[in-house]
Amino acid sequence: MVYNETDSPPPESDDLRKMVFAALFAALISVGAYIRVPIPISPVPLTAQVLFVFLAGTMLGKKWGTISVLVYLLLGIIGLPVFAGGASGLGILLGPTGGYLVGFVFAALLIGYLKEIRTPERFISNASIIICGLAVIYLAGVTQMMAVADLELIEALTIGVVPFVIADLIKVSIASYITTKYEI
Amino acid sequence: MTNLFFSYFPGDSFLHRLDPRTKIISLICISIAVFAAGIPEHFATLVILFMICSYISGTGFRAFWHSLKPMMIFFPLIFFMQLFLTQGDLIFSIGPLKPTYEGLELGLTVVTRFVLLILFATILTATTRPSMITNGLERLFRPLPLKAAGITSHDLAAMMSLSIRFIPMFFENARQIREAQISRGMDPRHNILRAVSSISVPLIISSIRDADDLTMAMQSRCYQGISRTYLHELEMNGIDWAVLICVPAILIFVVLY
Repeated sequence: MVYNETDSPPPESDDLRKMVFAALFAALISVGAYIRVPIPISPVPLTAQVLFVFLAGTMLGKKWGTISVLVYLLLGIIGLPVFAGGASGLGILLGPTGGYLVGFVFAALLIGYLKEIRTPERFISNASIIICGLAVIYLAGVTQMMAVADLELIEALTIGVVPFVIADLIKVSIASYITTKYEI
Repeated sequence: MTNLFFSYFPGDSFLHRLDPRTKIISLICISIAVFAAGIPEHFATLVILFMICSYISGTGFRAFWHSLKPMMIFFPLIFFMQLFLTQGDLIFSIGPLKPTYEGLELGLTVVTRFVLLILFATILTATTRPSMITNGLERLFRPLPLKAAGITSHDLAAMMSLSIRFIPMFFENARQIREAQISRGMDPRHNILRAVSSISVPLIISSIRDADDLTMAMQSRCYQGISRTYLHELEMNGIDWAVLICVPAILIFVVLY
């Protein structure tokens, strides 16, 4: 049996399966940007985008979770309207709001890493891990907004963090619940 | 979901025919120039370059508006933040509002940068099919040491293509499940939580099943992620190399002006 005239063996089926699931989660993150649920107590609507970033980290692990978020960013770069509000293109990634998208990568990496080293089984443990990921997203988002838009820390926090806290904590709860109950 | 690919506008202009790698590298160089720009002459040069590119490609106002619209709320937000919160010479003073000339200048600079970034990126996506940009990115990523992460640039391109295929599948499945549940008596407006769970749970389950089926199909077709060939091969022509030389030259001009 010849494999394309090379000595490399075929990839493990688990790796291929993880690759397909990484693509699936990238698509879920993309679709999540369109799922919009208004919440009376929150100034911005709840979207499923960040929720699926959390789930990518917890369910796929740090390697494939990070790769799925990178694939999602690449989809936006090539022109699919998958960033928040239907935006797309490299300009969004480099603009004032791009830090959050970069933060998605590090959030999935951190969540996947923490979950792999601790294998938590309780809701509170999972919630703690995912809140660390949320903090990373805020940190990256605020940092880039300050740098690109030339804002002070308090100004960047006012625009980029305060309005989103309520909706994001709800997403943390939902992601923790799903992670505690299900596995891929 | 034809709307999903609204970014691409078919055409046969000079920019449409350029190799996607040329356009990606040019966009990166132009983005660097946008960040390096700091005075009105720099921005004027970039605006003229943008006007020339949009004229050549035939990209209409509708595409640019479509790209800017999602960010429209941020432009005045950032501008007024800068206008009222930057220290400097007062333009006027009305109670707690103290706009300054420095704030006005800084606000205009930041917003102009953001707008230019989005507009140039729009020209790339308007003149190139997503599949061709995926091919271009795959070729650009090939020299990188992705092996250290356990994947190849072919895997990355395959995942992008798979995701592009998954997205319309989600919408179609969601529509079918929603209609099926409604035909069984579900009222989406009356009990929204039950409606959400009765649609999302089967949607996720069927998507995971599809992913498992796809894994088996790819494996049985001997997908390996290495040594792949492509149905549409990319090639760099003389004109592509000429453009690649000109764009960094413009970048240097803008920075050193």
